[in-house]
Amino acid sequence: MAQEQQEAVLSGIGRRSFIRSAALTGAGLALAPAILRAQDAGKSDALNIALIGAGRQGKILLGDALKITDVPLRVKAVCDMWEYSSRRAQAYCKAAKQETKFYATYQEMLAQESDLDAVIIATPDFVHHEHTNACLNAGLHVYCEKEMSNDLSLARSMVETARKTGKLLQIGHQRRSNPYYKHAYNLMHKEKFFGDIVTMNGQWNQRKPITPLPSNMLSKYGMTKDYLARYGYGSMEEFYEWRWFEKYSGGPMTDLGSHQIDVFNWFQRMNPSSVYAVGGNQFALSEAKANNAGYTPESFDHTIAIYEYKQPWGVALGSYQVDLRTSHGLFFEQFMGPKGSLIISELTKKNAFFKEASAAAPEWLDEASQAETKADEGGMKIDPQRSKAAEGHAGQLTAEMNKNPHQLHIENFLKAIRGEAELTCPAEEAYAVAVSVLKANQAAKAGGKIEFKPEDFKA
Amino acid sequence: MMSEIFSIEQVQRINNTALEHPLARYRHRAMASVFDVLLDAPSPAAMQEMAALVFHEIDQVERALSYFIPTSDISRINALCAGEAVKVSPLTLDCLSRARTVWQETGGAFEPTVGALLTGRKPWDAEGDEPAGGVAPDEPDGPGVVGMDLISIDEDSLIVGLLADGVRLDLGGIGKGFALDIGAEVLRSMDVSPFFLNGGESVMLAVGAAPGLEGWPMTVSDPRLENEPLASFIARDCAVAASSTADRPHVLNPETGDPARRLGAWAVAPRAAEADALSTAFLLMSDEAIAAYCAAHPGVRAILLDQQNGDPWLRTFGAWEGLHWKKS
Repeated sequence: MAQEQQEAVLSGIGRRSFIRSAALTGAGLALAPAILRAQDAGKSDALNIALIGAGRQGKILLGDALKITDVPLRVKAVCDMWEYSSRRAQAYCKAAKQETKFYATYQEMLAQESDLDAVIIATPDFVHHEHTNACLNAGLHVYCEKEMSNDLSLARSMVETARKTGKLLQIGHQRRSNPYYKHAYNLMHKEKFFGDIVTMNGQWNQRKPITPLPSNMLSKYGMTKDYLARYGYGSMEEFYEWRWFEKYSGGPMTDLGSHQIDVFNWFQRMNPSSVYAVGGNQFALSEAKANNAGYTPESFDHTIAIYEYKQPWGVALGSYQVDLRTSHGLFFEQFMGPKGSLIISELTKKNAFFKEASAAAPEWLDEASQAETKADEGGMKIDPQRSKAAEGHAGQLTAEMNKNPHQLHIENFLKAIRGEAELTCPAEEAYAVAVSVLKANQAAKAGGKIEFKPEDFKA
Repeated sequence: MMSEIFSIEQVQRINNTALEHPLARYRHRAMASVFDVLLDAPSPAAMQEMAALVFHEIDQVERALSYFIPTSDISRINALCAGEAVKVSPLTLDCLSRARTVWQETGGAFEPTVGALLTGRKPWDAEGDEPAGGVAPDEPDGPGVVGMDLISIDEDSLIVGLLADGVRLDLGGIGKGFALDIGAEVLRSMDVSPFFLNGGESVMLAVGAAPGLEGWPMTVSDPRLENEPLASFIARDCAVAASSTADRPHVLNPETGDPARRLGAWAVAPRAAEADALSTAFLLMSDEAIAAYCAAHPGVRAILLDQQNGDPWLRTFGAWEGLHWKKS
């Protein structure tokens, strides 16, 4: 069954659908106009953007932003405090034919760059508020990576600044712009295919060895203690491994778990009423010691959290685990109801929905899907090709599915700037996610349960 | 089971050679292959993060170039109709430009669109829960169309388009080597030397020298036999790649669609992408064309393996020094 299911999942995303969609939506650019348009971007209505934080995630966002053709953009400035990241970003921007200026502080960047429209922020959590608030106050729209902050009062300040300035603040929960997730959301809420969701399960497992910073990195790109202190860091280890330290981050729960908890809240269409969590970091501590890592991890290396959602039909339970000691299963979310179930992930080959054997098949399910379902409660992949009639019911998967998830989320942000779209993850909603996640950390540390009040989620 | 073309296992062999001290070895799955990084480190943990940075770059190359990941630039290009175009990443543009150069300079023997003639390709990532999902695209509707000249590449705007329907771009013949070049940039930027990178036992990049040696010891083996070394040499500051019709029966002549007849080809080049692509091209090119290519490209050398009366017949091209034959 697993093999068949995998083949069914693998068989669908094909060239024909792309071509069909491309023909319908113009996702592929006609050649000559495209080249003209790209040349025009130099002087027309292109948006001028900047990036603060050009590390691994910043570079992914930069790369995906540069693929956007619907909204022409120029990368005018990149800011990073570390020479290594800055140099690599310089090489990247040059290869991408961008005329980009580079800065070591955001203050200098904001003072020098007078014609920016928007900023993408991919710095550690503890400075998100500082960077976001400064950019909003400078009149810029902001796309800020999640988690908004490791401190809820600082996250709240970001919502308040966005309100005060009237500028857009998109938070990087990119699944909200993902066509697979939107399709699944419609299956759940428009078609009610699964019935009332009673159970959710999600995880992000990703083995992260704890090792020292390589000597070559320290000798070539090490920063002095004074320089690091100016940016709030105690050492190179704290700077590079900031995710392990509570003063910079909420640990694996905010770094990874936040994505799945966001989907729980989004698909439940409400915030949780309580969270119970447990966790530990003995493994991380032992490994750090055994490997002479040069730092002591503070965050839990694994956490399991259980969320309650008080729905009209009863309490829906969401169980979540994040674990840096294993990569088993990587990351996904599952939703179960009396009529059917769903597994969804950014790793799209996992995606499928299942009809409960006792449930009647909706008329829009095609024959192939019904046969598959009857045979063995098999999965139907989330793709219009296998259940064509479902397109009209659950929303069509478009040519967008060949774009990277971050590209779609940045595209939504840029279109919102131009008044062509609503933000899919405005700061108010992301704040509720930050509350849900940071309180799970608090519950895990205390070893117990935290009850939420509705006002807890209001910024 | 076919033996590895570089003899039993080149990387293991390096570790087993009498080094002054052992090397730290890091492994990572990508592109349906195992990649190795060998570094001179006081302990495996000491340089693990360095290897992780290299593997991250290799994963980024896979995400950009995979034939099987729907969001890769290559899948986006292959989904186009004639006259359409998409914007690609600088990584993809770089690899495409280098592929096109090898295509031009080998008279089309290296042909990144020849994949359209093949069926049943194995995804780079066909199993397990790898971060980059693999999806086998549909076969083209009609007969495949072959020709790198049917790809339009605008280097200033990073826009790549198709000039005909049915063209299928597949950088599998250069992608692993390209990934090694990109991974090596990280190590070079941090002044790491020596290092040895292996991309799926078919392409390797050797920089500096293994501890106590003049370089990195390499063996050339008969791909039809288990552990049958034919020759050995020391690689230093160069890339080495191998292609064989024994383990890759699908190397096709882009002109005729016929499979290559040569048993094996080894290519040495300054960069791994070029070595990777050339090892495939040399399976198809005439002796004269290979000799001319090596003469025109300093740093490029080749070894060809054919059969003569059932016996292996090895020949070399380009300026070889220190190549030792194991037997006559």
